[in-house]
Amino acid sequence: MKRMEYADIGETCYTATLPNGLQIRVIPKPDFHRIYAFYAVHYGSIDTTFSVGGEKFRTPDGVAHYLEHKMFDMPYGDAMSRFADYGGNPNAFTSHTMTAYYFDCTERFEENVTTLLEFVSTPYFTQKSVEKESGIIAQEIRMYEDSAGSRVYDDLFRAMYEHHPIRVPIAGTVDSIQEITADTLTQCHAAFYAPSNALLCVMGNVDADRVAEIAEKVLPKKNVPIAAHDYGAAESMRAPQRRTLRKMEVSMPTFVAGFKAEPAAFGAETMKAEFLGDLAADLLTGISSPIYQKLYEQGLIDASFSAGYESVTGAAMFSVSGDSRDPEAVTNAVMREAERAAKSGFDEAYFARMMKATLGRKLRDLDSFESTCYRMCEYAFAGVDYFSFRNVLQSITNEDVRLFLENCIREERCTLSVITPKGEK
Amino acid sequence: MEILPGVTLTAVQMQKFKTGSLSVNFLRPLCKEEAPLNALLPSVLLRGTVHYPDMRSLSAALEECYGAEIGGTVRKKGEVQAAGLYADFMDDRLAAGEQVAQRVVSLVAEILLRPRMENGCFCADFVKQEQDNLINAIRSRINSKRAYAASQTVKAMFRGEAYAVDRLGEEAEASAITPTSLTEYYRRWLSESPIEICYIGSLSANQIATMLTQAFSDLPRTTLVHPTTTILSLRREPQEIRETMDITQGKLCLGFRTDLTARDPEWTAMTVFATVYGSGVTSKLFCNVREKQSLCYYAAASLERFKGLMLVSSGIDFEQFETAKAAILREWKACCDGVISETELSSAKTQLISSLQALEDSPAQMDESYLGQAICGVWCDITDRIEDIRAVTVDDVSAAAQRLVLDTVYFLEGAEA
Repeated sequence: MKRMEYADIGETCYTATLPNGLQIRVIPKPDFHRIYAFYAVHYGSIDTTFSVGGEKFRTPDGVAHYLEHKMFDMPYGDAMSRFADYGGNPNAFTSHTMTAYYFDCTERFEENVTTLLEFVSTPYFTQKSVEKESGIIAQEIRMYEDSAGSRVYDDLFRAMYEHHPIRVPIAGTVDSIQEITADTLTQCHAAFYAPSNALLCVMGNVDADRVAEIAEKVLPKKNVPIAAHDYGAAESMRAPQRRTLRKMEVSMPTFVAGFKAEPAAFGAETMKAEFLGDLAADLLTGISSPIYQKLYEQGLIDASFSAGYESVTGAAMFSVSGDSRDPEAVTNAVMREAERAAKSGFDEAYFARMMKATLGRKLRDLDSFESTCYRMCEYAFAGVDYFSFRNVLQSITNEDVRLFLENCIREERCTLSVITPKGEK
Repeated sequence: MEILPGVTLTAVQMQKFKTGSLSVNFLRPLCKEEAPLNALLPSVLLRGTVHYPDMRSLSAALEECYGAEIGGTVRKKGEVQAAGLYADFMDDRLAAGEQVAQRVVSLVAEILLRPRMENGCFCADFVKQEQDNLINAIRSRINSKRAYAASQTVKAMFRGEAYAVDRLGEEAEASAITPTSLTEYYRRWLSESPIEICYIGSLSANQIATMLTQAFSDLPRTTLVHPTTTILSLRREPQEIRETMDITQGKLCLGFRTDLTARDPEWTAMTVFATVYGSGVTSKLFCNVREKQSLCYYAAASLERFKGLMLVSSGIDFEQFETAKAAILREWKACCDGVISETELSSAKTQLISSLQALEDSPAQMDESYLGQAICGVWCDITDRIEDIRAVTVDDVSAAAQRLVLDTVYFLEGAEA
């Protein structure tokens, strides 16, 4: 494996791409007890429509998440129990763009990583086991449905985008998952789970070359092409719906105001767009911004208030969220402040201070194995090396931020999603 | 080590992190009247100091320290409430010669000891706004149905005992706080509370102790009040409580009492039991109630080691109440009867051991663990604890299971249409 030194952030990383296309990253952490291995497949909830060899497929909503649940099934039984034998603690999640399988262990790393690589490359689904899972997943969906924090985003995405598949909740719905069969899962596995569409990232006290050897031995040898992602036509930058409202058993209104942003180009631009969006959020509405203290003192926001930028392929947004007795007033205040900042720009000293704070926080994030492996994979799928972040951050100018605000924080791009308590008007 | 009267420092020098962490915890007896005061103080203190009169200037100072963060912390550990500040900040070695840790220590002391006052009293606006936020936080307990079900179970189990008091207290007492009453309480809080400080980072214990001693040199001290937790051994017929809300999934919570805490030698067997029974993917609850019967997405047991109780939580269909309850109790019975396979036992032990080993890989978890040990008064190094876990037998586990007494069955169900 190739050893890369990143002196500017105090990290080392071994990298390799196997003949079958799998990308590997090993970040040595000799002083830590934990070893964390993260296998990410570039396939998430937004990949319901795709084509293979010119043929188009439309799969049920929630299928990537369902597949995640059923991947642990093996001809020998449940992969979970194998991990238990080796002292590994496995888990998995599905996001809009990725399905990730990971484990933690303090010993027997080689057995654990072999178990992980075996089960992600073994599609073994019986109709009986697939049917049984629907009860468990239905309860998982019900749990999200009772959570205002998750509902407020589901509602936002549905109202803010016209057709992008981000409109559908990650786990699908109790109805949509009924259509999923063993065949659907086999088909989706074949379409996306080739090693060339995945990345294995390991952090801890391990021998990097051994990781590559094991991956080469366990995974399929052939480098096969994967299905073509299809997210439909580009979204217009206009939000089709101004607001969406739902009542739930909560104590106080909770909201997200989303502003549509242009999806970033592949490569370093993705990372720059994200950093720029987050920096704009901090400068505009961070705790040391003029508007934060004002809204806080008026009792319109509290410590739950936050802002940031998020993007998936084909969709990006700036958002502000939190609990508030008057979400409309908060959203309007943010828009007015953005308009003002877009005219006058930010003070250079303020900009420099926020850059310094952002750098310190990003360096601290590297202590978290979970976040580092996740970001390593997410950025690799977008064509950029996560560990190059310091240079990318420093390439952002005060003027970039001003232009972003001018362009993005506009009323016609905004959808406001609100959950209000039952029994209130 | 005691760095000032009643101020204990636990410092762990670690070179492997890019983050340093520091928590300063004021220990108080958990009670209805004081709980909201303890919860409110950190938020009011964080609103402004003599040198940094508002959130904006304080936050700007933190941004200058490479985005260091200082937040309020309010923790309930048995019948002890620990409130104060938690800071995490970039390690000095990355800071190109700047002394971040020193500045954070000074800021933490400034916030705790030199709050902005008007005529000897906290600013009325700050108190009012933070009081509103606290009341909102108390009301927002219903937002997370799982946590709400657990908290209602605890209240029902310990009615009349201090442990029934919620971490943030209740709305009635929170509403009664005035700037004057809070300021009076603050002066007592400062001088009467034992203080536990925990630091994890690259500085030596002596370096951080020197910084802290200097920064806190004018901390007022009077007679200290040492809080403790009372353990009652109580057996009664299990009570069943049902509550309704407009929701789509029912939340079932079973509360068990034990007459043990982390101070008792048998506690290790108790942790192994709770893991075999309901923690992780090899547990009986996961394998049988979720995987075999598909009743739920989660069914998990959690232990509280200061008061000595166990809660089992699950999210189920409303009509599955009896089935799920029976299934959960059946697995407990199996543990009592010693129906535990070698694999179940060894998986549980491995899980506990690796989480203990991994503790030293996370400053936040270390902080939590050291504070807990300080409050319990039990200091045990990780190697010894691992040996104790290895020695636990099936008989020990079933003996631990038998120490449990089912006290409360709580069910949050849908409102009838």
